[in-house]
Amino acid sequence: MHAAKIRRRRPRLLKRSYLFGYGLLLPALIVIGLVILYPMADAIHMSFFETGLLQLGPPRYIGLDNYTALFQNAAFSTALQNTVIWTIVNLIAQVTLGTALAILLNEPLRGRALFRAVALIPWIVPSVAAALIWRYMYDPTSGLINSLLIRLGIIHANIVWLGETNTALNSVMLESIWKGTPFVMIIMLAALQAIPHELYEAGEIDGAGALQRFWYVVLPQVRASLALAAILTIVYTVNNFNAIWLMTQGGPLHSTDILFTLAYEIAFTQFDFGSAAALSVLLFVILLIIGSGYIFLVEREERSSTP
Amino acid sequence: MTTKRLGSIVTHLVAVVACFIIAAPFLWMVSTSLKDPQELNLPTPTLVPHSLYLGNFSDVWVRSDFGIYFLNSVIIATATTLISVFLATMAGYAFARFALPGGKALLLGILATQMFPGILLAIPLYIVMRNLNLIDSRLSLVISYTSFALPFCIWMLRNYFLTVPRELDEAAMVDGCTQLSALWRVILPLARPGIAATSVFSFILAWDEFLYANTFINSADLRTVSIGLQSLIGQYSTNWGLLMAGTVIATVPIVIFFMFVQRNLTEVVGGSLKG
Repeated sequence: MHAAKIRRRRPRLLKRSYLFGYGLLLPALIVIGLVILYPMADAIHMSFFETGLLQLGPPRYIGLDNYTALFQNAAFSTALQNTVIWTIVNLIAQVTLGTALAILLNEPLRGRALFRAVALIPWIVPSVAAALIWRYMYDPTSGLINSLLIRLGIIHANIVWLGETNTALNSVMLESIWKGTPFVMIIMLAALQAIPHELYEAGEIDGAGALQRFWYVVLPQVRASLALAAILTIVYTVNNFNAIWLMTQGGPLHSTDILFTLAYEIAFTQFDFGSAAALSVLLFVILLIIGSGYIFLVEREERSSTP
Repeated sequence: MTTKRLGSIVTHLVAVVACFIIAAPFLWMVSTSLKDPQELNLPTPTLVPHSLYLGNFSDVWVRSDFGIYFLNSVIIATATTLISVFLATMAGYAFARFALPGGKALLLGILATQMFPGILLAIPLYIVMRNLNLIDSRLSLVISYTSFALPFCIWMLRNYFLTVPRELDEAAMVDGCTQLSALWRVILPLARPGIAATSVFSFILAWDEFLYANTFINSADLRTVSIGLQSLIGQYSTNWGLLMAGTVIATVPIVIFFMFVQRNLTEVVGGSLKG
């Protein structure tokens, strides 16, 4: 009796539904338009002008000059290089360690809940706090790392980790790997827990060793989560302003500058808004390409796996 | 001993060592915050503090004005969360319940904003705030924070509402509710865990924010915790005990929130990831 009532009501509901649905959506969309879309359009617009706080006179239209000037900027090439290294190293390290941790913490261990909770610590600690803790650990004279390495005899004099161009980027990367790995672990742990036990058992019955079981049973099941963890890590890493700015501010001599931090410098220390906007738009386009690549791969995967 | 037993012991050992290495920086932070100035000045740093010195905490809270910064962060994060969750609850419900034309593209677009580099929006927003005379105000941060908190909350709540059975809405409407009152009276009370979890995540995002706060705020008494922490780094020397006490204070609310959320964590996060 009730089911018939619902079926009869639906057609009438549908038209009013759309109105109600859009009505619920509208306030959020308006706010998004104001604080995201409008600024984004403004930034793109700005990138074609010579404009900034230190400028006399109105903004001057210069077409693509801001963009071409970037490619002649030495700091830009360094930042671009750093961004590639920064992203790839973080990605490989975090995905490898995160997956390894997930496998480890998927085992039936005693106190497993405690281990899992502890493994989440880097994720929970605020990024500002994390960067400053590591900055202290890297302190040349009173830091933990120098003290420990000297005590172990691995080094014999204090190293200025964040102050030398050949160690700075690696040092900051260690912090970001520490900070980001739990996130990958969470994703992979969820994926591992979704693998039905029967698959493992079937593998064992067929004579597969641990490594083979990993390759043929585990990996295919977790591929989607692995890809998701990878793309999220890439995006977060490319946009990771806090870690770098709070540890080295992009220095020494731009050796830890990534595109993001360089754009910030140009905008708020040189106040050259046009150039900074151009660099930001460039960075945004790079992220869009990466993101679209991911979506394309996911769609292709979905199409090939549906019979 | 069987190989299985040995393997289990090795696995446990690896887990303990791994967790210790992971926790080390955190333990170092807590340890440092409890050391008195003399101990901090020792040529070689000690691993465990000689005594539980709480002076760093009181100093950083009162003399270094951390109490003020803490309050600012609470105000800003709360305001951001209230606005974002309010708007996102309505939007998330709309996305979850109605197959709106263009809805899928809209949702994808909203998701895409999560990968916007903050600097792209920071430059125009800075100019807007200057023009509106809002530089050096908490409001400028609340507005700016909404730019990343709102899309995030919409995504989380949409995925959460997908897990609330549609039959409940329909049952309520069969019983005479309009769509709006079905949402208000039936669905929202049931969605409390999801809304709470989303609010916590939104609060955490706002709490940890640094870039906008660094750019928009000039006055010392409007600083957030993030800026306050950075301000403790001296040009020539830094009082690390004070700074670590500050980082502990900055971390404690987040830890508390996480303990609160972790019961709902797998459901909310899992739904978001699958969606």
